[in-house]
Amino acid sequence: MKRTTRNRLVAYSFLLPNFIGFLVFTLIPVLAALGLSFVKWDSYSPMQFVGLRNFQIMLKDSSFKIAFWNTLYFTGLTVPLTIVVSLMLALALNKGLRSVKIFRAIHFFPHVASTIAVAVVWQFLYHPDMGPLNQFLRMIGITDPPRWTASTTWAMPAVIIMSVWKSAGYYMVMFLAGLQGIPPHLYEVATIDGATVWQKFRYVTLPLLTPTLFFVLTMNLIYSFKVFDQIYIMTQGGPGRATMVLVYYIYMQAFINQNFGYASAMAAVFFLMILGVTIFQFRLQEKWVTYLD
Amino acid sequence: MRKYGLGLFTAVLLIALVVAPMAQAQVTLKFACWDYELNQYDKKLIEEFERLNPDIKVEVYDMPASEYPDKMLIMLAGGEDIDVFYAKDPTMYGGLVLRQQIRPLDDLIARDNVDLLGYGGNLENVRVDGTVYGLPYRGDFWILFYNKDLFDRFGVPYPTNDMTWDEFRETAKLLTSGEGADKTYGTYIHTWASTYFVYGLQKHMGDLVEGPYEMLRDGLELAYQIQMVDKSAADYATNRAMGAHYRGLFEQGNIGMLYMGTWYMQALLHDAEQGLHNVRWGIARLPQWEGLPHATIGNVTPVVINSKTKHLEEAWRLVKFLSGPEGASILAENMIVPGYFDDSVFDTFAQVEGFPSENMDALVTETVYMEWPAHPLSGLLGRMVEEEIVLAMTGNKSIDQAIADMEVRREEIILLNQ
Repeated sequence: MKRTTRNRLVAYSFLLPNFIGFLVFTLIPVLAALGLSFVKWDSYSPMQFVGLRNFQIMLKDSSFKIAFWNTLYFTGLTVPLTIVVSLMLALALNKGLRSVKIFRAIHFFPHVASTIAVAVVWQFLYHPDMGPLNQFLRMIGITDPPRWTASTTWAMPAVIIMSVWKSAGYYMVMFLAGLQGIPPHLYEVATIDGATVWQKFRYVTLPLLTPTLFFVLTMNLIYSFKVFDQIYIMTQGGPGRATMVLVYYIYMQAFINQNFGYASAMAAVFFLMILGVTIFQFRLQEKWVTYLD
Repeated sequence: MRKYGLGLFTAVLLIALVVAPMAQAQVTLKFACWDYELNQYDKKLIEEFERLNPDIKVEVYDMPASEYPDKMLIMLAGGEDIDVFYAKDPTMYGGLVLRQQIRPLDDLIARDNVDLLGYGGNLENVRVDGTVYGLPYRGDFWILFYNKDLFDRFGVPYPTNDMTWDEFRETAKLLTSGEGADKTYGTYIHTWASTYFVYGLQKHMGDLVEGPYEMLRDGLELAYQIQMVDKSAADYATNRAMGAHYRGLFEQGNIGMLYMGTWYMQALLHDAEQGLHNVRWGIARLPQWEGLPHATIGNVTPVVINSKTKHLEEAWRLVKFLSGPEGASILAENMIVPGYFDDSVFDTFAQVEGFPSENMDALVTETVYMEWPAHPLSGLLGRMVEEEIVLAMTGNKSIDQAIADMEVRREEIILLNQ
């Protein structure tokens, strides 16, 4: 055996355990799901090949359309809001003081708490009549506050607000790390040149924070597309279908209605959607992300 | 020592000889149900069955009632070898039949000459396309519970068996008063979709799979008026957000009337035994629509056999026990309405302490419609009907609009699931 071949085999043997795990737990299930999207199957009776029928159903299914738009609605609001809030928190808390550290911990806390528990608590906060939130709104003079999770108009914003609150602390930590990676001498130079606080933010902080911003944007987008827990606990997709999102609808079709084929087909479309957005982002990255060499 | 030694040896040998074949022959059945430990009556059934059938051991899978149908479907889909279980509602039953997950029982019924008369009308509700796939273990139906103390306090006469929904609404107004801790409500309308559509089914216009949704209009209007106009019941959104439960609310003693299934009788007695409440309660038939013959809504719970069972004979013995006269008498002692119903059940009820036996007539039924037929689309349509009812009851949509949308969405569901 040639020396290079042997070296290669040794290298592969080290990779093998991990690769088997990937194969068994990720690749095969994903491919199986893709295969399932062409069949009609209730997990019990024999599978029935139906070609593209599941995808045709999707085009006619009003619940799928609603879930699709709701997912975009959720993502479209959650992502920018989370980024703005977490960046503002990071900027405010980017100091070494002890008291500041306590605030950082407080803001990080929602991320540590389980989504299920947090969603249950928010459900009470949002109660239309007895919830603390509306009691407060009435106290400050809003006589007819939103009915939050009981209203088709406000249910989605309610879930969005809770989600932003939940994840802002986590992304704040990312931004803090990014901010601390900016070399202090750049600020010194800017100060000597007479730059204002805004100019320093606009021309030093922001450009050098773009790699973090890019990372946060990508992660946050994917997480928002996948939203499920909050919906499952707080609204079950309701009232009506006002908060029906794709993952919840896929779950419902698969495990409640036992339409595994149709659910897999939607999952495949969902996967392509996320893949597309992510590729688009990476393409766009070259245009706006600055890396400091 | 030596003297004992021989005796001990013989004794051990004898025991071994007797026990060994028994242990060998003992079959373990896997049985799934909900709230086994919490409710105790299934436990009494299983213990009695094991006592009568020493060759069978029953391994129980206990699940919370609310998660039972979903969890059960996921377990079956995962190939879990549960032998015998309950189909909690007609939707679940219909799905099981459709997917052939449960075994037809007609051949076994014929072979063993099982007496089907005791099941009465319940049998029709477990027959799908002429085939019986499960035997009725419980045969619950909706009745009206009321709090006698509250009626006495307001000097209002107790509900009668021929009460109409209009009278119900007026009575509810009379029982509503006070604020804060003293607040009393005429009624409570639970957050299930069925609580909002039982009135519709009483219109004798067919079921919710094939009948016109127009049948729901008067009932939804009634519920809306009671909650939003009379305010003699808390509204849907409030109940939903609070995770309200009829059991705790009625037992607090400030709800006058509660229309609910007969399954609540057992809980009421159980909770009183535990010292959780001292409400003096009575029962009447479910109120009816003026000018229409009386009907109530039922929910038969069949006990079924997994089509993949490896212990068919033993499973069938368990099914016969749970759904037969023996099971029925144990259920009746626990204030559960069994699927197998004869006069002895009434007699047993009358002897149960705390049961308002003067109201026994409330349990006489003529027409019992099912909440949902055992139809393949019951699950999907059920979810859709619930969504639309919620929209109407939370004021997000008018009742007319909700009914119109139900019709449109039914067409879509039928079209997409051909």
